[in-house]
Amino acid sequence: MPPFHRLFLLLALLALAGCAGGSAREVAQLRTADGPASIALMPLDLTLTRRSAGGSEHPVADWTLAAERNLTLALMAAARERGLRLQPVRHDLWTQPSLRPLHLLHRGIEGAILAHRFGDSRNRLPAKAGPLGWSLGREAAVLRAYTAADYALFVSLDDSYASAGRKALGIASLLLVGMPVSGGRQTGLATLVDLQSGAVVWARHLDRSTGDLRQPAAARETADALLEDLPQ
Amino acid sequence: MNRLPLLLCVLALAACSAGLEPMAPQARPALADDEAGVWLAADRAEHGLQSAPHRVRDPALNRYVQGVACKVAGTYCGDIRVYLVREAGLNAAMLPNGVLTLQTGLLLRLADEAQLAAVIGHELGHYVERDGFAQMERARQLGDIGAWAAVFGAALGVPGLDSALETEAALDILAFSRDQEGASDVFGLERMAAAGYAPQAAVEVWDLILAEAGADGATPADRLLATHPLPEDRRERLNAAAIALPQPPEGRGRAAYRAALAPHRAAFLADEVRLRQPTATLRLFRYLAERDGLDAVLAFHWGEVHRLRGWKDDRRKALATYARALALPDVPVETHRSIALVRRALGQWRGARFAFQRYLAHAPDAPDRAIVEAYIAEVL
Repeated sequence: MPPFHRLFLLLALLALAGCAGGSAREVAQLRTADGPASIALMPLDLTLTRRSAGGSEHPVADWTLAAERNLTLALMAAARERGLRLQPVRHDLWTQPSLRPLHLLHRGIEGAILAHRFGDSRNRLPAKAGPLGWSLGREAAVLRAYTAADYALFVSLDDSYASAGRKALGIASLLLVGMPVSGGRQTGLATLVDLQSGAVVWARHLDRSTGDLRQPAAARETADALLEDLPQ
Repeated sequence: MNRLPLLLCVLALAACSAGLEPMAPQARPALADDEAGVWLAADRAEHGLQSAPHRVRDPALNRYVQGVACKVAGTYCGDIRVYLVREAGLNAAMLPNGVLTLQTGLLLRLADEAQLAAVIGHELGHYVERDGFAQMERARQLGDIGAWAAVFGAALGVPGLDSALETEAALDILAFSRDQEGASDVFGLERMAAAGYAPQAAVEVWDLILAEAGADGATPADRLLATHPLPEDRRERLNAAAIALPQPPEGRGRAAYRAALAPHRAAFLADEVRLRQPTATLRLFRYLAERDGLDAVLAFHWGEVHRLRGWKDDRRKALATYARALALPDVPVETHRSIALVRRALGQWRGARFAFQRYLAHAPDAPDRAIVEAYIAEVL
């Protein structure tokens, strides 16, 4: 197949991908001593990028900083509406050497959930078809000591936007050869960890070509989409 | 197909993207700049380094190396943050935000402060010239050209235009990186000379790299040379420039360097042994012994390479090397244990028992005392 055919096949597949996602819930209700469950919002793992005409992604600092602020506030408001107490932890939490193993372990779990739960169906594991079954283990208690919360909410999001050059390329491609070029994408994973048992009790995957974390109102929409079926 | 249009594209690009202004001291890119995104990624990598378990935290060694970095960096002193990373092998890297990582394997290999200054000067060049960002920008521009070529190639019915450009782009990036490395060599040389170090030390660092490049398998130098393409004349050009500069005989800082490294040297040697690349490690140890003389700590680890390789002649060679260690002052106590293990493997029970006993006599609180006692009982 000539290379440009391959390219267009790829572009067509990307365009078809449109919007995907899903969630998995282990508990219907959060465990509380009294009153609303307290959830610590872990430092957001967020990168906003600009996609060049060629398709490479380049982090954009001011967008990312604005998005951190917008999404933090939006998540807190969305949680409040659901009757949950969401408390952000200090943003430099992970520089603590004692927390490093937990941070790395959670990242590994995120990768595993993305690959084997929400990813390509060929990577689905038969043993992971039912309950989520991922856990940080009892060491999650270390985080509990740091945050004084019952649960920890982790959010990792990549949010990309087409550059002017990529938009122009898209138009040229449509006009000249009738093929669309993929634009920006919002992909991410939210996980809720029970800090007593370490178990991941809820996970939600977002993968869509809409959303704009640079704007407070649109960030609220993303927060609602992320927390859609969070147990209460 | 005709390569002329491609070359014209790439040449046009080279002309229009030439030259970023050097980074000013105590500067940061404005938040809205593209470069700030590169810094953001580097800042995150730095956060990771801060909690990394393999970071060397010894304040004395960090203070010393940061001090040398400041001497070389001059007005950029406050912009460069040194992170010592516990890893065998020879490498150093500069992140766009001024994070300078130095592998401990590099510290082990350098002879003196002037050589360290040469490495730091070279890496400083990457920071001041904003090489990381420049390279990313160039790759992005080449990618953009490729994407447009794909669209126009399809529209005009010229298949393969984009893939031909891809090859061109890959070669261009290699050449671009090579130019950056050459420029950083010159920058570093001038910096270290201005700080009062002997410029010839920079050439010696190259000799060190080349001495390792010929070793077997995946040598530590391979990884470095993979990102630092080496034209035949890079060392020679550096040499010609260094010879033209004054060579202050007091500009070596050998004693200070050796003293700063001394508390860690045994651990860094052990890291090299643990790589299990015996041919490369033996070559390195031979080089170090020829350059600095053989001391007991180096001799012990040399013996360890033979013991752990365990080829036909290695046990005999290990014993001979341990014997040389024993004849030198300040022999590591572990030498006795290693002698015992080799003799035990050779079935020399009396010799093994004797050496185990000497090990315990020298290290009565050894953490492996119980197992050594079990060995002694076994070879009685």
